[in-house]
Amino acid sequence: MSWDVRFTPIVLSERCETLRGEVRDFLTQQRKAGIIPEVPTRVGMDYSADFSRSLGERGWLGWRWPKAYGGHEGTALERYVITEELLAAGAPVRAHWVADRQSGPVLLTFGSEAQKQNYLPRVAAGECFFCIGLSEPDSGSDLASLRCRAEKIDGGFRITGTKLWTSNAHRAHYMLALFRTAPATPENRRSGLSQFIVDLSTPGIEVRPVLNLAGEHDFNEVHFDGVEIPDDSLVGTLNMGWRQASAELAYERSGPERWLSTYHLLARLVETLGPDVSEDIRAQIGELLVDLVTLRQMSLSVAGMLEAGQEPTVQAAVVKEIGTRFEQRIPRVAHQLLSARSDYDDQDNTVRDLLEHAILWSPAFTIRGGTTEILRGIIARGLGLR
Amino acid sequence: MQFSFTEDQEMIRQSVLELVARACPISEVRAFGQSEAAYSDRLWQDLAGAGFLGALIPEAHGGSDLGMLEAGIVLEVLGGALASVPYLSTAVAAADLIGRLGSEAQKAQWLPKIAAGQISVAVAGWPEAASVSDDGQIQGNWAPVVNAAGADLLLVVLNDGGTNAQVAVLENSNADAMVEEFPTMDSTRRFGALKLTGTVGERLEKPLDPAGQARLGAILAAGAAGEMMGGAACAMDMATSYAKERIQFGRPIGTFQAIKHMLADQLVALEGLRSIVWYALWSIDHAPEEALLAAITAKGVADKVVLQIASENIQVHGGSGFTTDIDAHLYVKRAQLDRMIWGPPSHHTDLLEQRLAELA
Repeated sequence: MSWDVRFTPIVLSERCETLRGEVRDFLTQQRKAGIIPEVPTRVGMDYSADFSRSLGERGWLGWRWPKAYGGHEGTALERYVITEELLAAGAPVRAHWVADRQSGPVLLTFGSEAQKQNYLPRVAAGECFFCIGLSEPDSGSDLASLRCRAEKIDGGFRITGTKLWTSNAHRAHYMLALFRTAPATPENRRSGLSQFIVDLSTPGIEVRPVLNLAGEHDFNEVHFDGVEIPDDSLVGTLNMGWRQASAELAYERSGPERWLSTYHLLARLVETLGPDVSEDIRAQIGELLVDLVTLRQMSLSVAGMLEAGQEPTVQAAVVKEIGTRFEQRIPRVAHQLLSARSDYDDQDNTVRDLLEHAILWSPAFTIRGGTTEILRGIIARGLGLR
Repeated sequence: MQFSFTEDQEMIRQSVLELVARACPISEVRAFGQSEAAYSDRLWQDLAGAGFLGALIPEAHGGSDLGMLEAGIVLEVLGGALASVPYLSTAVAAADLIGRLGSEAQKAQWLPKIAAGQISVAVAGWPEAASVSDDGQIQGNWAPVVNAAGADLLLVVLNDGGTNAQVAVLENSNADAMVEEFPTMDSTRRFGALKLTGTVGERLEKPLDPAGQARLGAILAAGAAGEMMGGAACAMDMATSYAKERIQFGRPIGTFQAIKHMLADQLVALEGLRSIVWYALWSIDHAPEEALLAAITAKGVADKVVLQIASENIQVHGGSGFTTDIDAHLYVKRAQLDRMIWGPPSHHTDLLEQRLAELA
């Protein structure tokens, strides 16, 4: 074959399954305490700084990081099990998600000793939240064209420009952002970009809400009007930010959040339809489960490759491409099966509410974190097609 | 069959387009979503003034006696504008039902008011069956019903399983008729849940015989498909314009095959939809024996194609498509509701299977 895109099969260790049991027990308690809803009526991740702190106390954040930085020196597969259980339970993990998933690992790989000591223990404690500063109004899929600039000044940098689609910027403490520090060269349009940590309480930063299609405030537009940040905000090497940010995306694209967004709806659908269903419905649910199990194996496999120090960029793109379309298919099938059966028990409208929320959120799955079109381009490049 | 629009029909289209541009710009649609109004009264009055509410009403009753194709042209433009008016239920379905089944007194009472924009009507009961007691008391639930809460008049199709159905006419002030607001994601229209617990009301004079039931089914399905087709064309137009404007990687995104093929597929799907919708609308008056089959086919195709085009419009717009800042979301939300009314998709395919079995 002229190409080589493999998914190494993974078998989870006994340690993973023990850990899964511990996480489930904790989640059961949280459900009893009313912190996680017994009956989910929304898809996606809710925000609770308290819940994030309690995960930090349990030692389930910064799972893979060195103990010296507040981490727990666990494996990527163990972390996978923790995140999978949290998402499947509908736990409110929004606050720490980005910091634990990608900002922390970037700092661990590229950050200075002082940065690691300053930020990582707080992230691992569930007390310090990050947002992602990549997209801009004129730079979405074409990220390298970004214009938000950081000019060198005495003792630091001055930031001018706008970031867009920054989820949680209104609640996060820091942004891990990519800014232009030098013009792109004709040979390499990805050069001249650098990564910075920006303290969002710095004067001159304005965070404006952008309401999403469901009418919720998740996105923001973040304006930097000559914002001055100190020299030690630079992460890694000046003008080498593209490579660092690309590494970040492998973490972002393959996790269980790329195929579990509407999982609750599937679970609720099966429960609502009950055991007495036609062959046709059985077949449709069966097809969804086949895809669910397959996706989980592929996604786990990427976690295994990250663990082994590989760069599974193409595999991560494959998982997100299939995973997000799977997430969109669940509400479609649920809508079809439920509207054909008008007599199902939904006294409190929870099934209807959950279905409606899933329908509203569906379009986002194939846009956020890299559109399906961009992912297909990456997959094709993996086949050697340029 | 040769089909093209006449000069008069093109003039009607032009006239509705101008009227809608004036009375129902997108700013009006957004404002409607924030308001408590049952429908956009300004647009309703303009439609009445131009004679479009009387499209299916004889001149003797104050109408303009145009025809189903002309009503379809109005519906297409209204759908494209995401207009908040109950045109299909009032000026098309109710006008047709009252005109065909009503007594002279009933026609004289309601038709001029419909034509003049003085009342709006909600139509419930197709295809569900309600139970009717011997003394005429109606029991049943219907939801979501377009414009139920704001309607002056409710027409409820009562099918007790016999050959003929009855059409009940209920004034919305009737104390036994409970209409509640039915909240949906579609902010461009109001929906209601109708609950009848022993209401009697009056009946249109003549029964709705099987041919009449087929005609009503065809009118609602083809009319809804016509409105949806207008929405799809506008959503596609939005996506196409944006694909020409939005620059990424140094060129308009519409030059990338992933996007241009998506838009080409949309045009192919939309043209297929157009053909079947216009055929269905035409057949209601000119080939009635084919109308129901054509109309449910049109609605079935519309359910799929319109949601696809409206959803892809969001994808072409990327992140901004997933906000309330631009209007792509309004088309998707409306398409989601359109799928659920005037017969859900499964109902249409069931009917279609039935018809095909009869033909085989």
